[in-house]
Amino acid sequence: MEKNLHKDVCQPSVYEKLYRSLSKDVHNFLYYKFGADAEPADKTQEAFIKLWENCKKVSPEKAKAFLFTTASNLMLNSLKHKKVVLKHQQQNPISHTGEDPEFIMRTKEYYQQYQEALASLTEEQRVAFTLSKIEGKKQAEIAEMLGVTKKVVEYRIYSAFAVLKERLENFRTK
Amino acid sequence: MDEKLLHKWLNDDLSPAERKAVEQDPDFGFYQAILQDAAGFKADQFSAPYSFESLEEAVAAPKTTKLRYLQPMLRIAAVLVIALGVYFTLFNDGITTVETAMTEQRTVILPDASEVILNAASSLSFDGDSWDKARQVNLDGEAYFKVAKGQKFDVMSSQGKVTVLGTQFKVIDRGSFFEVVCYEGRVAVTYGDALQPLNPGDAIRFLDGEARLYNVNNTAPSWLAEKSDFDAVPLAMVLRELERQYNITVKTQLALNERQFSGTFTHKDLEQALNQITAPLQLTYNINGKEVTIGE
Repeated sequence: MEKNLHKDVCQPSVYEKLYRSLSKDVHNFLYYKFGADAEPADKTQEAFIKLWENCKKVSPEKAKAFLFTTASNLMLNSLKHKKVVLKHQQQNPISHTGEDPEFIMRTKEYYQQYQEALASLTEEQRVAFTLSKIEGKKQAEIAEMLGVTKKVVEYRIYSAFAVLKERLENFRTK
Repeated sequence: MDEKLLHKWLNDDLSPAERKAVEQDPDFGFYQAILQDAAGFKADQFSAPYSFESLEEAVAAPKTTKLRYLQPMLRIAAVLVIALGVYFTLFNDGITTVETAMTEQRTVILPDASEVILNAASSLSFDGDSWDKARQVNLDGEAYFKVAKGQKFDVMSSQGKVTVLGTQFKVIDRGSFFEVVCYEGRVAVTYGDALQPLNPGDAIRFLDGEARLYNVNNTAPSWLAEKSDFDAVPLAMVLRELERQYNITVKTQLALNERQFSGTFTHKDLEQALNQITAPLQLTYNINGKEVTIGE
């Protein structure tokens, strides 16, 4: 604590460190929450510029919460409830069966379905699920990012999964 | 699959026994595939935050754009300030200069309503800003002064200084010829180390540093009445005055400084003026346009 008294965000070294450690999290959070079309990189940068402008008021400990809140607000300001689109890898991850056109077709359909399923999730569900299962973040970590309890995060992951498995039911292989 | 187990599995909360049970569940393969396939949507394959360097640029950008238009403006402003400063200190510190051309006479009213009449080809300058502190004019040539009553009034010329108190007088400073004639009041003439007070009708003349005191009868310079008069003045001076009053060139082979002229010539008619000058000295003249030749 005492150490941080003379370390504020206005110090370029502190600011740079914050960017290097947090920009990816902020970006990914925006990406999963609002989709690829919402220019998450731009909004991440904007959030950090806001942090710089408010560097005297925001302590390094509060910077993380400030960034997530600011980034989210920036996004909401510019977003008019567009459909959330998460892109998926075009190339077939299971390449050894890639020759089968029917399989390719089915894979394409599957990802299409998966994409729509993700889009149908609530923002909270999608963020919790993707950060946990795609980014491999710990539930506690996600809880801190979002400013909710770990239990809430766990419930969101579970409820997100419930939607996904239902939506993808027809791709279940016996 | 049991919902509680599913919840625990999703949140990595399974005991080894529970894990075994889950892995044997017929749904397990499908569920696991869903989680694995989610990786296909991983953000950094499609989008990533900008580099810190580009953020630095963006943070700096608003400042630099401000400066970008401010800087040239500041430069222009600075140049203007300096230029105006230089202009006012060097060229416009209240100094008024009046010059007369050949044949021209001009009346100048000084800030205290004193009147100066400049004879041809003369120049007068004074500082209007410091006039209240020092009534001082610089003269090059010939002028007649009617000084308003008041404090000291100085006429500075290259050869001498004339100090007056409310009076009328004439100063000539041409080449090595310096003459002051007092018509009214009292003036003090400083020439080098010498100080000479003049009373009305007194005149003092320095020619090549040699002083001569004499008296005049008129109450104003003769050139105010469109004529020039001389009292034992070298002929060269007279002819130069003739040149100034008629804007002509006088040529002669004569040794002009050995001859002196006392008399008057008119400003109205060149031929008459030449007669007035040459007749007493028994000289001849020839007018050729703007050129006059004087001979014996």
